[in-house]
Amino acid sequence: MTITAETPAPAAGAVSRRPFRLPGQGILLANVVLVLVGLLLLDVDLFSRASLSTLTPTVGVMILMALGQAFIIGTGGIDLSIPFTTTLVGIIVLKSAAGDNGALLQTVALALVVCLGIGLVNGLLVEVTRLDALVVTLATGQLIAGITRVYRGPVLAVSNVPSDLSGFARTRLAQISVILIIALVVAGIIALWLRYHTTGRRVAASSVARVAAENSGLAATRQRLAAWMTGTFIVGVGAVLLAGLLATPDLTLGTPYLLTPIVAVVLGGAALSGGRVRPGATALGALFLVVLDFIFRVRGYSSGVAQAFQGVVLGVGLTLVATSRKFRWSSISAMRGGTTRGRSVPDQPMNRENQEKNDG
Amino acid sequence: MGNLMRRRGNLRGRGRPVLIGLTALALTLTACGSGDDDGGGGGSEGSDSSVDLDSIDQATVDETVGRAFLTEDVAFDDLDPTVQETFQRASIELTDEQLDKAFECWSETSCEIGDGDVTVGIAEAFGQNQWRRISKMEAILQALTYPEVGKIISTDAQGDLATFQSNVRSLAAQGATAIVSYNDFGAAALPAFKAAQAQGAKISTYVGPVPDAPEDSLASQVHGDVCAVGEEMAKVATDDLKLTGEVAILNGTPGNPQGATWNKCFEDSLGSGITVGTKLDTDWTLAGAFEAASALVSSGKTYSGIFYDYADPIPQVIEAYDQAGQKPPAIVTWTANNGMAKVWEEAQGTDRAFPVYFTNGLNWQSRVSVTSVMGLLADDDVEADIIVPQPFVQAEPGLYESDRPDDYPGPSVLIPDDLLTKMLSAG
Repeated sequence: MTITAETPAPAAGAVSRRPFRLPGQGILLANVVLVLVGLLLLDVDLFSRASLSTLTPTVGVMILMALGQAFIIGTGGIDLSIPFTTTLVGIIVLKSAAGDNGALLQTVALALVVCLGIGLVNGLLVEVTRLDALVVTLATGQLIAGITRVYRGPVLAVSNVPSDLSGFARTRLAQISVILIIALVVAGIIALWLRYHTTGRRVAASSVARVAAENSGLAATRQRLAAWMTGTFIVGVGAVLLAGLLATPDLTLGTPYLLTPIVAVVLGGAALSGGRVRPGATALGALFLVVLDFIFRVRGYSSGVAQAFQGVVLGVGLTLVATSRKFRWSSISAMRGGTTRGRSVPDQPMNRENQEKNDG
Repeated sequence: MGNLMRRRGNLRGRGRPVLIGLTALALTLTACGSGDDDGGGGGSEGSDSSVDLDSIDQATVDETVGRAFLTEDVAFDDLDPTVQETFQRASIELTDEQLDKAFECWSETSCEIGDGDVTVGIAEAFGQNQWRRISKMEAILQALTYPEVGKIISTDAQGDLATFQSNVRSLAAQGATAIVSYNDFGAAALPAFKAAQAQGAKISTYVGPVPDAPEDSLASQVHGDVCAVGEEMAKVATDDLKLTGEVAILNGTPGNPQGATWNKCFEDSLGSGITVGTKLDTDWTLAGAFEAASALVSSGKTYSGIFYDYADPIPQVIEAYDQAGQKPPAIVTWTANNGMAKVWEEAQGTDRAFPVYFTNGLNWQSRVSVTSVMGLLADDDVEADIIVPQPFVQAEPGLYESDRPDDYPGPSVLIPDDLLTKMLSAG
């Protein structure tokens, strides 16, 4: 969680010097480069019907999973129960509806309510009892996995989700999967909510700086609980759509979503120690990972090569983020006489000076 | 397996096996008199002495063999003796009480099935999917044909190696002397197997082999010849499908030894004019298969066939082609799956029609494992490596069973229909 350092009022005219920046410029640039490399150097036609129709649903699901994880990481936590939640949702959709379209709505509602419950339990354990998020979600993940297997029973008489759900999840508009469209809409709503709505700003403020939020009179714990529940709810939406896409969800449904969403969030520029949720950048992080994997697959590289390259990209990306951030903030700070635009960098002399001034 | 390549479609619609009342009677009588069996730790009484296997009608056995392999071209006499006995016992009609008991054993982790001294242990590494559950029932039904068996205990490690190792040792500690397992962990499971065998148990694994496993760790392994299956797939590609150009291979987890073996044998056996264009990993998950197929359709290349060692994700592969508006290529896969049958039948008669070749579901190999460890306990000659043929058959209309779920592993399942329906209803 980033602690916002109080800063002296900037000199007149300094405010207007703040340049406009697109969210997630780095990851946006990385995506552009990746697409260009794919198109021009590796001869992978990412915009053909075949690519768009099969790639976009995967991107959409990954964006939703990453957005869910982003809310948790924003609080300084981490959610390792996402794969298990995803699998549970798939089994609920399968078993509760039993293939009946008439029961689809109530089944989806049930699945999403269960997700809210999981988010609440995780949030309570982490935020109220102050247990470590990693340990808590690892434990609840195992619990969810056990419940899933008990609930599922030995075998299933029906192994297909209702046809209306699979039909919807496979719908395309101009070859773009409806799942991706939903994911982008969700990302947009989250961005607007966090930026412009009071409740969203409270959640964001409480996630970014708990102590500061409490000192400001916000019920920070409650707001952070809302972040956990919102994150898990979004995961639930992704899981329902994934179950529809695959039509026959099984116990491996959530397997791919343990670490990749975390990487997507981090590639989007988020710090694992917490901070503001940036839906656009997170979505771009998810897009980058899926497209990178897709290009490797199309080119026929083994998944080992793809994974190794992802690791390199993550390492280099994080190094660049950290280096550029340090460079940017220290240089700007020096120019502005100490302002850090709300970010603290531990080794900035000016920041320490400001802190001492405030303490004094 | 070259002589096994004449194929036919599914067996559905053929008469159910003629069941043998006399054998059931003999089984019941011998069960009543089996109290003195010394089966608890390598008993001296041979398994053949409990049930007169020769009294079983050979035509019935042949029908069972045909159902298991999905073809009549596998000759009973060509099979390993343990496999022969397996099918003889699988042809025995069990009583309603025995079937009820089987269901009870299948639902619970422990059950008493008689007065026999042998305890059968079923050590599952990951026993949750339908294939595993059906394989478990096959093992239970086979155990029920042995009056020497008094108890069946099953464990499920849910994919965790340490738990699996602990479970195997625990089974031996509980007196299980006949342990069968689908070993997901390969050689990593051998120390636990060795410890259990040191306590007097005999262990047999099915489907997934551990090459060169010492007999003090693993008494017997039941599996297909992985390399031969790869060669068989190449024959299907060249002789039956007459494919040309590039084909694609889908594998499971990266670097798994099974995939590496059949891939190489497949490639080495391909004729001229056909090459492997790409190999993609799927992790044996539905999402992984969809993503791999997505890469295939987006590659701009036309693959004339897809070769895979797992049938369950085939519907996701076909879905990717459907989404892309492309006609699916020929599919050649190990095992069978009702969902695969469904998408195949739906495509028939349309311009999307594509051929499918597949093998039997392999579930009944758990029966062979049971028979092998029971034979070992009776000091019978049992091979350490029991190789079963794995012929490919072509999908034909009627393969899809609409009254079964999509993950049902197909017509080679040897479980009686009523019991199977009861199992599926239990979900």
